[in-house]
Amino acid sequence: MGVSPGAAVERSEDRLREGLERFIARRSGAPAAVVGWARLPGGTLRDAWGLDARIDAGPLAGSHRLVYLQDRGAGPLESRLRREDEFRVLSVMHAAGVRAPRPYWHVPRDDPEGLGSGLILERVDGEAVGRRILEDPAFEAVRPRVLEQMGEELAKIHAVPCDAVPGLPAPPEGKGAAEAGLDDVERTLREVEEPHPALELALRWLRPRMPPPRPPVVSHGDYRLGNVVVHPSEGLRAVLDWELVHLADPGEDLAWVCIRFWQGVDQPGRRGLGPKQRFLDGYAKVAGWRLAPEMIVYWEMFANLRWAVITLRQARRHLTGRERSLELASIGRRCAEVEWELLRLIRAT
Amino acid sequence: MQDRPTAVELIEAVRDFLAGEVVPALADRSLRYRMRIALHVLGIVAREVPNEETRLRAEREALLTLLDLRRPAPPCDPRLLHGWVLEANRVLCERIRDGAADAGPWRERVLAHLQQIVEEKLQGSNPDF
Repeated sequence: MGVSPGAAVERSEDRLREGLERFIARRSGAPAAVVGWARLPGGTLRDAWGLDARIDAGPLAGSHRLVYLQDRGAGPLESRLRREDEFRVLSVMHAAGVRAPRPYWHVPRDDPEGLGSGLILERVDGEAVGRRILEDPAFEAVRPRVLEQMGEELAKIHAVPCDAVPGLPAPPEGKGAAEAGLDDVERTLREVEEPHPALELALRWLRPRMPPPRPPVVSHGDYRLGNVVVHPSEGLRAVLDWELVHLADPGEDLAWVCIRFWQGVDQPGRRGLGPKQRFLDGYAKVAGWRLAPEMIVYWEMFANLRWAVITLRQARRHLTGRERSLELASIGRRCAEVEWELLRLIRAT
Repeated sequence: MQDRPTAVELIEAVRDFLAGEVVPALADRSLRYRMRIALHVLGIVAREVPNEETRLRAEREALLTLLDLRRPAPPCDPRLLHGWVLEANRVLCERIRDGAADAGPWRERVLAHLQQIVEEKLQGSNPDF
């Protein structure tokens, strides 16, 4: 008697759901039920489920709209935060009034329910898929406001004191944040061991133009369209994906939003949410300072180079067999797009 | 010589099957998303496979000139050709790291060469870019 794969998937989903029910009951100290359940599109690193939970007593009594982010395969890269640290970051940000989803629980790898390491967070209504935010007419009215809000929100993140979350990845002693960032990117490129002349040119461009050291800030690390939840009338509702948080020069986040690949800001020949200036103005309004124009050019070159080496590294995760994944493999083919952009930026300066 | 269908025609048959019959039957959003990636990847393969050797030979010629290297007979085995181009690109990287392309006419030649190569790569990976 054959068992259809569909049935097997359903059974494992049932087990997961029951495991979550027991987990929530244990951690909230009250009877709990998962009353709604749906698989959500996850990322390259984790699977996601939306769940509506009912907790019957205690301080969390009531209904909760949650998302369970479960690590896939090997879990986060060494370069990413451990989940318990990401949970702490979320707690600090949420408490500081940053629009981060409210964190509920960190699920440890060795949890007795066998859920697998991950996070349980508040599920924020709205759209996170960049393409839909850019194209769906429902977002037309709110689009001009979103970039400004993203600037304001980033300034709030950067205002959180660096020591609010102990143990974040930080520049080595005696080294400026900009230099540490560049060293990091170069090291990753060397580890990939594939020749990329366009990326070497970008490195040669960056080294002599490195900005003078300034005190680092808590950098989100992946702040962009695609990692924000946008509501059709309110605009920005939440900033997602905090596993790349580290201490860095504020220019890293400021330029990351602006690179062509994320389609957040208007580019030559391609419309985004609006002009880059609107985002930078939103940041300046809350932060009380702005990046000098020549520094924006530096950080955009850096952000593109950083994204290029990330695409190479993601593909290596697949190629080395550490984590076989079609999505990771296909990201390797994105590098050429970033090389094209780097060559354009190099020619423009 | 292999019989028809060619490798590319077979890939296209698989794409048509997945897009026409499997995608509509997928209820799971996450699976549908990954199926779209799979179709995209098959598209890349179908575009790259027929031109790969021609492109490698052209890149070899360009690198020989750019790096001013001796001209040995072109390797016949496509794998040797691939290895040669990879090594020549390593040499190009070293020269850039040594500062040879920081300024001057050779910098312009390097930029023009890389522009050409990156556009060829994009014709395979993302012709709409």
